[in-house]
Amino acid sequence: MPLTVVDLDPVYGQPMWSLQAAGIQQGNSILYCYGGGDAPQIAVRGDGAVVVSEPTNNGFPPLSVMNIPPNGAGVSYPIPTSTNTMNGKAIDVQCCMGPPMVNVDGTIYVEYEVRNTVNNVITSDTLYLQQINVDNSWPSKVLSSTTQNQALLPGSIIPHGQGGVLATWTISPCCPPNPPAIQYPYRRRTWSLCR
Amino acid sequence: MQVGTPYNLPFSPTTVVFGQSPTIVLGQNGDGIATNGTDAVNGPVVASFSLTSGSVNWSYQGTAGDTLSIIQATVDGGVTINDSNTGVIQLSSTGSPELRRAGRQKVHGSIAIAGVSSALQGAVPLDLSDWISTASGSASLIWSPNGSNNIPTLLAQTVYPMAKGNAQGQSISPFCRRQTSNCVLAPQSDSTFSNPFVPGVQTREVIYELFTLQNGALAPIVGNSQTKITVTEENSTNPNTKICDWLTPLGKCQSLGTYPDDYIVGNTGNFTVEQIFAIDRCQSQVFWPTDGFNSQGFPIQTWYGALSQNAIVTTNWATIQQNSPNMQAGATCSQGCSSIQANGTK
Repeated sequence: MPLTVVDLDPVYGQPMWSLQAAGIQQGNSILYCYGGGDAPQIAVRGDGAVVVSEPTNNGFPPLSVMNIPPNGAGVSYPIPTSTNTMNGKAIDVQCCMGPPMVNVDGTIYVEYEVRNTVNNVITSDTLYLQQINVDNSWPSKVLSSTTQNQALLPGSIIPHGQGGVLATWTISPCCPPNPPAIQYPYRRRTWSLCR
Repeated sequence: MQVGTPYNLPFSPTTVVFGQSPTIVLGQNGDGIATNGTDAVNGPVVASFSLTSGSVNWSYQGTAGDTLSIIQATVDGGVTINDSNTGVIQLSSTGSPELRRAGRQKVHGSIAIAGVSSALQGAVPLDLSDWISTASGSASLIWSPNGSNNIPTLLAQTVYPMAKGNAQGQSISPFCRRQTSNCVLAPQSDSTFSNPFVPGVQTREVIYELFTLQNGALAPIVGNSQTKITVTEENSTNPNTKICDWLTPLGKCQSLGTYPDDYIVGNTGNFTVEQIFAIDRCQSQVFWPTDGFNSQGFPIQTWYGALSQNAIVTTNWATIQQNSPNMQAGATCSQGCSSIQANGTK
């Protein structure tokens, strides 16, 4: 059974729209692979549009906006992939998304990470802040980047009360099971909107 | 977009887990309040920090093995948190656990813990007196009126006072804190009539309605029937007057969308009482009109808002006095507002 996000009618309980994860073809069967901590993250815009981001590459669309007025349309946004190179063979994979947030003016914000690894060493890692405006434009900006064999894990975002947002992320030294400790791994950055 | 200078949050866990990032809310004074939730070695931390400098105002450390979660920033400048092992704790504006009122101290195991309500473990506030808990496997209400046990339920006046923004957990500001709503209250109708059940006594009935305040203009918010308007009443001069104190189940005064308030002495005698209105647990201004003249000398009305008001109720009349109205931020109202002034002048 694929992982599915369903919006149920509040009166009759009938599905109004749904969003499903894709499976992986394995032999003659389809494999649905979900682990702990990878449930889709959801925010709801004031006009009823629903933002869904998927933290991992479990087959769920990385970023979607559903139930967009006036006709309830849905849009999935292309998030740049990461590259994982092992013994000279490179594959493109979807990396990590943070939880979405809707600012007081209806602008949607979410962080995503583009991580490139070579033989289990993170050669570059870039954290982006994706914005989806109420006019449906969707610019993104770099929040932070590193080539120090560290992952920049997307974190939560909140409005800072002056029109902009606070974006947080986690600096995670590579790689489990025994990564070196790092002091103050959680960082935040203030973004102000120029209008 | 302009980008600020990044700085560190005040947490130093020994391990980092994917998908776990600090929870942050905005406190009453505009500072951030965050928790890292868990820290198996040092114990989790709740900290208040300046949004502009990142400097830490205060921090509260839990016990290793506990999970701390932020429920809400409160209007008194503090924050309500949940400790997975002990229960709900109210931290003051300086980060200290609030001491319980005399006679209301709860006991956790055999040890009395100042400022901790184990009865509210895992529960979340629903309104000014009820919390919802699913600890028993089904949703149940727990009675804990606003302010009892020193745990207030009025939210901080900021755009993100709760974890995940609003009570529904939609990662968006509460409805009335969004740019497009910016809610206040104003009388939609205001009438005085003889009470048919108490001969010789006048009733002043004011129907308060939800308005949006945009660029100095009030406009009614139509069709928002889910927004809960609540009133607390304090400092009554007549102890026999039934007021909305939220300390007894019968004392609740709340309504969805609009709030009708009948000012009447009944058979208990004259009284004066202070009223504080809240919309979805956010304290709200109530706007009343004042007569004046425009620059051309024509009579106009201007609406001014105040966060509390006194109702003075007698047998023959009832009048409202706004407490410290903001006279620097007058508003117009072209539709939906009653033109009767707070003192009853037409």
